[in-house]
Amino acid sequence: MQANVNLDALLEKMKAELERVRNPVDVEKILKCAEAIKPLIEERETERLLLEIIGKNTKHVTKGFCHFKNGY
Amino acid sequence: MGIEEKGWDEFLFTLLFIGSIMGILFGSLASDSDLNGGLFFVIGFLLSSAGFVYLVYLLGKSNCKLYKRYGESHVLRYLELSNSQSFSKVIREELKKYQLTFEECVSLMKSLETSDGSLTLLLLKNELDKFITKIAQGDFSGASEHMKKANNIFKTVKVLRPWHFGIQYSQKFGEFESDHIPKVLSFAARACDALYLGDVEKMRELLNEAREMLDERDKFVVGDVKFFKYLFEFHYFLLKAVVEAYEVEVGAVSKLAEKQAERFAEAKPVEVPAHVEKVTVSAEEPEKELYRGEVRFKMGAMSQERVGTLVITNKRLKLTGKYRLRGHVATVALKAALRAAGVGEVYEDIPLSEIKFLQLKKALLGGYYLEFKARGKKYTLYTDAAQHIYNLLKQYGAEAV
Repeated sequence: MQANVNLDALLEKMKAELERVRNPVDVEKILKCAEAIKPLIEERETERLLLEIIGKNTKHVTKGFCHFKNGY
Repeated sequence: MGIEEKGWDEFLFTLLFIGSIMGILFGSLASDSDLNGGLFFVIGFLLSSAGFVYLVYLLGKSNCKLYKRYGESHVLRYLELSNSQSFSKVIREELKKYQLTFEECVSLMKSLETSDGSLTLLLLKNELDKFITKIAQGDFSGASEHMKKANNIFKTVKVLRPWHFGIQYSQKFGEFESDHIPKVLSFAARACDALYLGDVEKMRELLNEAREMLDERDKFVVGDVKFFKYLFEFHYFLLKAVVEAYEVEVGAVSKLAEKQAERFAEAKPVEVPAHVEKVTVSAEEPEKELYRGEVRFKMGAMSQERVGTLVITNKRLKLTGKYRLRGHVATVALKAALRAAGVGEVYEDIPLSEIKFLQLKKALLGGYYLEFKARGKKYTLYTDAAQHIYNLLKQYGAEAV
């Protein structure tokens, strides 16, 4: 990498990359779709972690007593 | 069932094994002295161990109830959110809160899937365009704001996956799994903050961080999109240029300070006359240079000490400080960053009549320095010729305290 790099040239390159992007989509609406999904994905992740924790803490004692129809 | 029964067997077996070993041990010990006592002891021990087994059984049962009550609801919710079909039912309900229909999101996802080029650039284009405009103007505060917005948008959209809307897997959405994109965006935002504040210490920290990222900068290329790589490089070079210019300036200041101290030690003490004859210079009179020399100076009370050239004529005071950049092309952004860090280019041209509150002050380590105000700014000049300059300025129309 050259020590002497033209910062203007890098700015121009970035501009050129952005100009290549066409077909603008409705970002606001896509954001809304994502915002609606985000808490659900986060909830799924917490549920998964919770199940792992419950599983770990109770596994040894309850191994012989509990039975799940769904399994885990 | 098999595994669970085995677990139960193991548990019971271990307990009985320990119980009988202990029973035999205690029993044999007791039988040495008294046969009946030993027998009672063994029976008592067996009974108590049976009680213990029952207690553990009860404990396990209640634990199992707890597990079933909470665990099962979590299992069900987890399964509901993991399955594509049941998830779409949940999301339909959720979307109502956002006044959107499921079908709208589906068609938006399809338009994303069929679009050309990078999804990330497509979604961040607006913010990134604004960011580039701000950077080109040298407005780092505004640039940082847009960078932070872009990062937030990325963090929000990165959860989107086609299967949420019953669409088959698409390679395009793999971009959202990149850890490098938010890393670069966050780096750029923090760099802009430091450049705006002129915080050289923070810039050094960021530069060290950037040096560690240099090796992986090829991973900032997403598909054939090099934007994020350029974004990283731009900030790296900008930080590097400012930090280097700052260090060179600080070095120059300490070097000159040393030289001035040496000259001061060698020079004969100069008396400062209490009164100087004022000289009036008419407008028609040609401009004549009276003094030229290298000085250390400060503009403003808290600013960075600099090295510059002081020129005094019979009409004006000129103070110039250049930044010491070798080979760098001075962009607007770089100039703004250097100015914020206190090592920007200085070109002050002040008519002597505008110099007010001129003062010759004694420095702590011997020698004198000059202070004055002009155009609402406070100037401090450190030079071993302070007395001489003080007299000149007073003579030619500066207003001394």
